[in-house]
Amino acid sequence: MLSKETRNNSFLFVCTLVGVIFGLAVMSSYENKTDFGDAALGKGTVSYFHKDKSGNSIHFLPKNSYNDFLNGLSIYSSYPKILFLGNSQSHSINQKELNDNTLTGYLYESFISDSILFFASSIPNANLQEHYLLSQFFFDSISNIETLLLPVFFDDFREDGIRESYFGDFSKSLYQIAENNSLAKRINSKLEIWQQKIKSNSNDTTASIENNDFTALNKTTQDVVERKLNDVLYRKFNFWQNRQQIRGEFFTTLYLSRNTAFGISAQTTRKKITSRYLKNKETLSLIINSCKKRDINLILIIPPLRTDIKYPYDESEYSQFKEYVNSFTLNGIHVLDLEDIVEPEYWGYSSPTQLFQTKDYDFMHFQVEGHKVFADTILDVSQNLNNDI
Amino acid sequence: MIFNSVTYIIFLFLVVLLYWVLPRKPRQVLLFVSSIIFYGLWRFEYTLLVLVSAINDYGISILIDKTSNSKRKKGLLIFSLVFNLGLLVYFKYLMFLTTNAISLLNLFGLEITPLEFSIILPLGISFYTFQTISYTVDVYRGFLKPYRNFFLYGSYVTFFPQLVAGPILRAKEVIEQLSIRPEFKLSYISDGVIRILIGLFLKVVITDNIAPMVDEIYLMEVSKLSAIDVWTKAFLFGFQIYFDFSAYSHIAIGSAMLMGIQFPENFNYPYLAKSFKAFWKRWHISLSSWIRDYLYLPLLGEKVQDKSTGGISVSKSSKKGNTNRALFLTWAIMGLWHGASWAFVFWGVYHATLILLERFVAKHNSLKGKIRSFLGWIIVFPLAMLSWLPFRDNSLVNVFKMFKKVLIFEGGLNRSFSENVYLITFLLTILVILSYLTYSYLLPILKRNIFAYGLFLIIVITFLTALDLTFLRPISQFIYFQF
Repeated sequence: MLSKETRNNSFLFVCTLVGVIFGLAVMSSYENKTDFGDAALGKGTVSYFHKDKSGNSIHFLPKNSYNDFLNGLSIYSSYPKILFLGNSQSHSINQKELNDNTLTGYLYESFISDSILFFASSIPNANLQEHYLLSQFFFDSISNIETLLLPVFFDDFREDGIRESYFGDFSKSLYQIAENNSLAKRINSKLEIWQQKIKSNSNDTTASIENNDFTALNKTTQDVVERKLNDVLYRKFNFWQNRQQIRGEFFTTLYLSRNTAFGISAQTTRKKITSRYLKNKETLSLIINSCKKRDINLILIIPPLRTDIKYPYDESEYSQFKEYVNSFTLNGIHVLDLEDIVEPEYWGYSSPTQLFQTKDYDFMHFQVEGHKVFADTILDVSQNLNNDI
Repeated sequence: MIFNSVTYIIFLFLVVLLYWVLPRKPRQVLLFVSSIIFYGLWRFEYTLLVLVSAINDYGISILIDKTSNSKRKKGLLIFSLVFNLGLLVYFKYLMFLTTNAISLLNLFGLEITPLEFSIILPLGISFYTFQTISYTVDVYRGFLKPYRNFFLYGSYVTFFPQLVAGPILRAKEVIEQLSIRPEFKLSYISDGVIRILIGLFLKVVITDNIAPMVDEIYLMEVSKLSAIDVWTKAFLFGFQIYFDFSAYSHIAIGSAMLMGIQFPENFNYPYLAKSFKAFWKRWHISLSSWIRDYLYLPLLGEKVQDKSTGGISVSKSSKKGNTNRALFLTWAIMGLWHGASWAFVFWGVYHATLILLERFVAKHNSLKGKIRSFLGWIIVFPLAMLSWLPFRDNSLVNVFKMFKKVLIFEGGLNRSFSENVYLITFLLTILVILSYLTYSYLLPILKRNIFAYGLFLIIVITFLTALDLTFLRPISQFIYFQF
């Protein structure tokens, strides 16, 4: 006869074992294959990056190959060029149909007939520091850039820093900003660190796993063993393949739970974060000075805003922001106020922002008609400005 | 080898399996060899250093035991201390010492160009050095007979679960357990697995995910921060270092438990301590008790306690020595143990000052019971969190600026970080309190009914397993590896 203690221990051992097996079963049975890159845009909103007739991309996402992008543009080397730097608004279409294009695609097609190359780059929630890095990269890598079109989003002034998820791979370009200011130095050192990291991971043959996953092993003997084991697990077991998806799902659930608990929706006022706001303002000045030095025509754009419902900004903060952007006209910079150009019916819906919700208002992305209006307005302005563009 | 990896899980599984299959003596060889492999998977050449340190104290402790001449005993002990501390100084403090010496000489007009070193800090050197020192000192004090079986002794020094970041073990606490062949119990496996799952959860799910946030807020210019930002920085890093280090201790304790070996606890809800004295009985318990028994009490000429119960306290009747001087010296050294920088010394002096103040206030405090406890916690918790600023920033100038902001409430409640940073900091505070309530109140109730407890275990373990394996990636080392 077993003692009570032995029976209890055996029972708890079985419970532990069952818990571990259930945990593995939960992971293995996970089947949702959401593209978390587009998840924040909403189910009806997709990313689209236009290409020319030869299949060369004219809209660059810094996650992709900078080399392919530059090579693709080399056939336009003699053309005068317009560079557009934006956020997800410029590469996302609500309820996209087969042949729908983005504003950058429409502008490319219009300008190319006049032998002007319009090309673009955008990152979701891009802050001004990221725009600064990209603008410097393009100014230094591509000749004949005559104009920079830069939409400045009040929302994006809440963001900060150069994100490794977008620029980690870009650091392979070995690009370093040539300007001598503290921001440029900070960005350069970040790019160098990522470059080193990529170098140390270059022997990896296990393409199935993200290299960043092994940062802590840093060339130790365990590094080799860990990569091999990961590769075997990835190839043999469902639960290991599902890990990235489950991580995405986990964070989405946390985000939705936070919003549900605190009653946060797309319309909730997003207050200015003073230090980040100031940093982005300082960076905008750097971009302006750089354009002046290089004799590049800069056009700042106050982007379209959904105004049929209460927008998620503090009214006085937003109007101060607009005043600030408009004040650049005094310095001879063109400022286009496109706030009202997209009609309410062209705006769409985003993913749900709370649990038990199916959708929420989208204040950033619009349907194809919105893209057309945006592109047409830029074209009209360019004609009015005659040779300025 | 680091714990938060697939390699470790497979390694541990194989070692535990062999451990329970092998007879007593080969088990000791297994533990010693597997510990060397564990360390060697970081850098194999540095295993020699661990071995040299271990062999030195193995030999010296036998010699100390053999000799009856007290002067010779003392000489041997001093040799051991110089040898061990010499290694520590060379690998950890040489750059700090020479840089400071050169700066001092430059002040006197001697222009000396800074020297360049490329010394790699051997993983865990601060931990295993303290462990070998304690062994020799214990033999010298007569607390311990030296062990002649090298594999047994070697297993104690190099035992892989604690080799890199503790708990710092006393020989008495472990060697006896390593020398016997415990009877296999299923509870060793279930208890061990649960501790490992909890540790991995704290590391890979919580710490690794808040680390980028901490990195970002510590990169921001201090001049742009407000008082609430500085508090948030202090709290968030306070949680990161706590979860990270206690995670390591959970995995270490759990790994040893799988082999039926009990380690002393290293953490006991330190952020719920109601006094600074209690805080140091709950935070990194094995270090504070080591410092007490091998530094603080000997400095005061007091009788040592010889157990890892934590806390740096002295008996009330103590009249020997200068308590305050010993307190500050001990804490400055405790700070330096963590890293070669003046910021760590400042951290130590900050804690010494708080303990001194507490001793003074305690004499004049008439409050009693729950009000005293609650007020104690309200004061200790934020002040303990504030002490992490020099730990993370390392620039004393920045640290002083941040302390000033807190003192004069500069910038008030102006926010410089995204809302999530404040929210997560708040939620982590709640998590600590909830986990304490669960452990102290809910679990004892559940344990009264074995089936309810079993069901609770299944649910918790299912979640922990799924989350731990989902996030298990060696993306960052444990913070205490750098100490």
